[in-house]
Amino acid sequence: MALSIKPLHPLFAAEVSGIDLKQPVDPATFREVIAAMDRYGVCVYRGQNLPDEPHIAFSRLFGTLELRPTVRKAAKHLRFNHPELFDAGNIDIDGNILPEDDLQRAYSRGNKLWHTDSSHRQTRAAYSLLNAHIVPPEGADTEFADMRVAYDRLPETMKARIDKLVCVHDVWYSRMLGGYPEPTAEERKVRPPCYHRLVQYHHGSGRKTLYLASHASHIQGMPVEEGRALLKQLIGMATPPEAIYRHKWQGGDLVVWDNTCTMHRATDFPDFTYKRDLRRTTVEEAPDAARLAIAS
Amino acid sequence: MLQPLVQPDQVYRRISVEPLTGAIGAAITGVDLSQPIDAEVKGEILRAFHENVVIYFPEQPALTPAQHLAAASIFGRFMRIPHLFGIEGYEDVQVIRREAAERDTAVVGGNWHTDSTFLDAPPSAVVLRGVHIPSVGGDTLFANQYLAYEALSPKMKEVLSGLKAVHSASWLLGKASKDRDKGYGDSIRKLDTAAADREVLHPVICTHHATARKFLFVNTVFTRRFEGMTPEESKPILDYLYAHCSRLDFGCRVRWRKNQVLVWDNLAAQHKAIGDYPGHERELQRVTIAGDRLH
Repeated sequence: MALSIKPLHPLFAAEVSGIDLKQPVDPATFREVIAAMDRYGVCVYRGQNLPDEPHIAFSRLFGTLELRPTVRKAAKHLRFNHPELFDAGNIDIDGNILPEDDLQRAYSRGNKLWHTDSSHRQTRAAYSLLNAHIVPPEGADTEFADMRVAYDRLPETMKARIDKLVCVHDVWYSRMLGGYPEPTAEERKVRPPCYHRLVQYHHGSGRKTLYLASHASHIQGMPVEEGRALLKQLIGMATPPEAIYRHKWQGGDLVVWDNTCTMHRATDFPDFTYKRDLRRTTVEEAPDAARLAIAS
Repeated sequence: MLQPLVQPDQVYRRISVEPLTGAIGAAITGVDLSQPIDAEVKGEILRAFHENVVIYFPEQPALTPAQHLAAASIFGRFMRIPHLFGIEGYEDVQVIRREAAERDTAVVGGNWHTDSTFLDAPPSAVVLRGVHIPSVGGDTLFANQYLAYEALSPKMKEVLSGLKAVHSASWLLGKASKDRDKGYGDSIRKLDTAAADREVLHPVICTHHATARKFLFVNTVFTRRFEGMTPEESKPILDYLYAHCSRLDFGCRVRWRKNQVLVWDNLAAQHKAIGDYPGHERELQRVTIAGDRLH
């Protein structure tokens, strides 16, 4: 089956059509799915209306799925039976909008900062697949930027300056920026900081890319404030308005992005008025896994 | 000043990359394309591809069509060239073949060109495999169009950056092809003349989607004239650019071997087939990688 690919932005991001993700995807078609990911970084599948099971089944084709972390959450937040599903909504288990002082809200606020998923884990996330069950009638767009493009656009002096730098990523740093309370010793122990090169090769395209996120607390071997200032500057340089694809969600959308070459952030919506139910699966990066199976 | 293509700090961990010239082309060893390729090796192959524009894998087993397709998928999704024949059951694998008895027909691709620039979105790459190769002859020449752009004077770059060129398949397959001495025989499909005469526009100086580098994008086979200029006004400038873009110091010459796999970047490289093997059969099989509109 030949997929139809329509670019959504001059630099990256495409809409993929001609495929029903509720049906099994054959290896030749999946190669086209991967080729589109490698080229565009963000792929939008409109009108899929995927239940949880086919969402997870399609995600598994990309690799091993991350399991939801255990954080301070009341039972009312654990909406899903599947441990592979991350909650990117604003409702509780009974479908009620979460109150203002809910810890889940404080935890999610950090997602409005530019980031890439799971950079705070030493095993990076390769892909995220975000599935829209209920979308609010206005707002709540997701913004994306391509970090290969961002790298290409840096002045040569900046490329030389950052080439060998290592960032310290810490989930609690971005959570506290978003207003989450000081993590407990237990929380810090379960999810410790980790280390990633700032400039990396993107395996899917062979291009150099920035591996950047608001989870990046500071830069190794550099005074903390100096490193933070550099990271802030780089995030600014990587996300000028003309380099952003802003996804306006429709119910039934599945959006897949490559965390190793993009950043994204959530935007505001009247979130005490409207319900939003989005569910995410996250695929771990596995550099040694044979992802390109030979077709029989 | 020409920029060196390979940066000294870029070390390959999983494959060996040996440049063929100082301008374009590199041989890749240490990977078996009949086997599954992991993400890191894929990344290194693509890096070598972007840095060298043409790469070839001289030591490969005889890939089956399915393995050829799997290896080609490293470079993107497939498209089919309208005037080539596919092999049965694997229509994305298309055939470039010349019979031993074929003497009075033109060699397909015998002039400097990039493939299929008469399409709105020309192919971004071509992944070929040697099937029947004469013991000598039938090499392919390549020329690096990043270097062709970079070697132009600043003012010429400025002038060309403001221009678009009109491309069509008229000379190859349309009205203008009727006026040529030699046809192509039966190795390629006859295209509808109207489709072949359809004109499309591409910038003369394009930016590569994967390297962000600029390259020169006109070729003798498909470029007709500059947009907004007459053929007479365009011709002297195009003739200069055709001579310039195929300079030997931008190029390389690759010798074929049976089972060798070769990939050219169909945006940043031009190529030319050498027909010096009359009396011998030659067959390559190719998978074409789709591209986007050029900017």
